Amino acid sequence: MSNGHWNGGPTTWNDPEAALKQQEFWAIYETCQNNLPPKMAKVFMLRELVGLEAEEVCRETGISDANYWVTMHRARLRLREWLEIRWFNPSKAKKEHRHA
Amino acid sequence: MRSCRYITALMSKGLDKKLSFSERLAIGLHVMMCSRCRKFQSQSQFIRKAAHRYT
Repeated sequence: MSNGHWNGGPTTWNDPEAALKQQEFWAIYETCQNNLPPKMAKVFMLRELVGLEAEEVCRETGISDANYWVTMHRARLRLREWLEIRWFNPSKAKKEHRHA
Repeated sequence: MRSCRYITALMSKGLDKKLSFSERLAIGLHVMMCSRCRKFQSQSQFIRKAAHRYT
C-alpha cells in the first residue's frame, strides 16, 4: 500500500475453502507464517494459533496495545499478500515483476 | 472516504475486538465502494480460519 491506498491490492481468490483440503496449500501456508519476522510471528501465533485474547498477548510479549494492533495488521497484510502470490494467484506476481 | 490503510487496520482490529458503531459504519460505507477492501475483509477472515485449522 502506498499513499494509504492499495497498490495492486487484493485479487479474487478462487475457492479458498478448497485450498484448506490440499496438502500443498498447507506447506505454503507454513512457509508464509514462518517467514514473518520473529516478533510478528510470535504475536500472530499467540493470538491465532494459541487463541489468547489481545490483552493476554500484550502481557505475554510485553508490547503495548497500540503496537499489538499495528503488528497484527501487518502480519495479516503480509500473509494475505504472500498467500495470494504463492497460492491463489501466482500469475499476478509474474506480471508485477515484469512491470517493475 | 477514509483511506484503505485506515479501513483495513480497522477490519484487522475488528477481528480482535468489537468495534464501535462509527467504526463499523465507516467500514460498511467504504466497502460499498471499494472491492479491494471488501476482498481484504473476507481474505483476512479466511487467514484466521486457516491459522485455526493449522494447529
